Amino acid sequence: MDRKKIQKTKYLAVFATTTLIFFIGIIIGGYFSNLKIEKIYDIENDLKINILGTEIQYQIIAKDPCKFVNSTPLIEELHEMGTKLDYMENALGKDNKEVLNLKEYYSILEIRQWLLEKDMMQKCGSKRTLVLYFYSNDKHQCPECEEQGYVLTYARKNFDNINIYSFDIDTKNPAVDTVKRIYGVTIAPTVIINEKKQEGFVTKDQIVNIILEQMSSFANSTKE
Amino acid sequence: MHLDFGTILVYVMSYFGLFTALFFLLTLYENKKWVKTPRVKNFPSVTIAVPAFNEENNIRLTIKSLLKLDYPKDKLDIIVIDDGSIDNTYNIAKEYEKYGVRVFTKRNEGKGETLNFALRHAKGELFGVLDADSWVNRNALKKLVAYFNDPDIMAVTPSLKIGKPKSLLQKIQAIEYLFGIFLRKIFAFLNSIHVTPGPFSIFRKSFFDNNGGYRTDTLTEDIEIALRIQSKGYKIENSVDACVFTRGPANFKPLLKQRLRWYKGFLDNLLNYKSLFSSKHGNLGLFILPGSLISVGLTVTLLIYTIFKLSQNWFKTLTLWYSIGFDIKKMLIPNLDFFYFNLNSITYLSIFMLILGMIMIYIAKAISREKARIKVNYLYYMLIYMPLFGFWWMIAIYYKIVGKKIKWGSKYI
Repeated sequence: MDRKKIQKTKYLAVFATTTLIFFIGIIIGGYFSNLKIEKIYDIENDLKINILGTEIQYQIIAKDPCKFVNSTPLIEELHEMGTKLDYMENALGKDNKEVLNLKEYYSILEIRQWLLEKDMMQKCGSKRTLVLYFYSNDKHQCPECEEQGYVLTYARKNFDNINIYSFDIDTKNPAVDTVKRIYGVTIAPTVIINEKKQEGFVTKDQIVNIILEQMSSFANSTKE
Repeated sequence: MHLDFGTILVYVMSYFGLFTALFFLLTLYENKKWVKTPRVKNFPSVTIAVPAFNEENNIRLTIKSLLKLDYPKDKLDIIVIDDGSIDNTYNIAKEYEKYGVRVFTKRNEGKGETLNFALRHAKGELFGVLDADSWVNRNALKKLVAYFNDPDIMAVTPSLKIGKPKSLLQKIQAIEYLFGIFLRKIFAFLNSIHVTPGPFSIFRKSFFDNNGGYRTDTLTEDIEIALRIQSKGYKIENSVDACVFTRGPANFKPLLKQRLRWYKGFLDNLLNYKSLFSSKHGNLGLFILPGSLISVGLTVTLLIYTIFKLSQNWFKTLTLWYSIGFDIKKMLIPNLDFFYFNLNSITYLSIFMLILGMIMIYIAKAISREKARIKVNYLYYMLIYMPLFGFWWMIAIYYKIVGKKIKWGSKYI
């Protein structure tokens, strides 16, 4: 065999095989991220059933709310879905249509849960700190949002009786718009802790102080 | 899909790596009948030179292994040239004069001059060098000589292995050298060998007579001579059955020094032999030489990018930790849900490349009849060698750009 000769067909064959394997790899990867999207849809369906159940559950417990004060319907599922949405957003990009749809749906579920929780607080004296958090994933619009999110996660992990509801400030949905209008939310980050609005970054110490204050006021009100 | 610079880089690397691996495996498959060394037909006279500079601890093993070579004694001429050592190298070598070894000493001039000194005293038709930190298998010379039937073949390279690897870095080099055995055989099939390693490559002495001796202005005379042979249109062969052992540097610093010399020497010589980058020189000019530069470029880019990303991430993590006053106990509980395990295309391509690499190393193991167990070492190799390789090249390229000089060390490392 003459080894000086360049075998054109060999180069072409290898080029074709490489391209084929390469795209098979990409397709397999794509297949698995599709599986994940389907899993997100499963979660969405689960949540739909869940919320229906909760609504009925709520109607039942509304008659005697104080019996159920310590249970926190939906909040765990919501948190799980939130984490998965973050993941999806990172994987698919924040302009992905599925992500935008799911986010909108998620926001509505959050508001639904928030209303339920507020109702419980009024009717049967449930003792929780409710936090509404308006963020933006746009680093130019809100450079401190990543830190703010981290501080709130810290609060959630370190205190039991705190519910955090996060809303992308850019979510276009009448329900979210209404909440925004009620509190006059225009910039990110805005953090509303038990009806008290704070614009701009809220430090860990500020949040912890508010939570501790609340806990002691709850404790006092129980004593009275 | 999310396409940032890092993702694109990994895709390009995978594609290029896959192409190269498939090309090499196909080449091996096409030539599988020719992997083994042919039977030796005649025994031309051979001079083996041992250049030695402060090698009193190693030189006995080197000379003894040469004396044990299975080769007609009247056709084998062994010469030791002491390059002005300040230790006992010369006296130890003199002990072997009674076995016919010719021993010379001269003032210290460096390796290139020492090899030219050896050429002037060489009597054989063939000429080989064995560094004083290396030793050979009994049948190595017979296997190498078997290829010299074709008059166009000017050099034959052996299978180079790390002898008695002890330190972690030596074990990693052992894998690297196994990889080298595979590559050198493939390069031989593609007529693209561009390094004739210092330890025990055998040359036709007439090539030096007609084209001049070793150049003394290069850091890597073993690359220069190979490129010179290629540029004259001659061939370089490889015998996988001829095993030669060398001591790899055991520690980080001497290894770095060795690699800087090799890699900068490689760049210097490629610039001197630019004309080889042409399809006139077949696979070497079209794919092997450009490919080696591309792979170096990609590795260095990936390393710089990874360092940049890692420090960026660390800075971010520190900022986040600062924001909660470093009360991180509960933040560190990892999320072990399988859902978040990132099984994307890049993961699959990387696993695939890892397996391809393993296949190539096992082929090398099989064809060079290496028996050592290497599974764990392969893991170390994948984890440690890749960043090290990028790091060495990064510094070598930097030295090349700023024109910094690298010198030989206290030994010929």
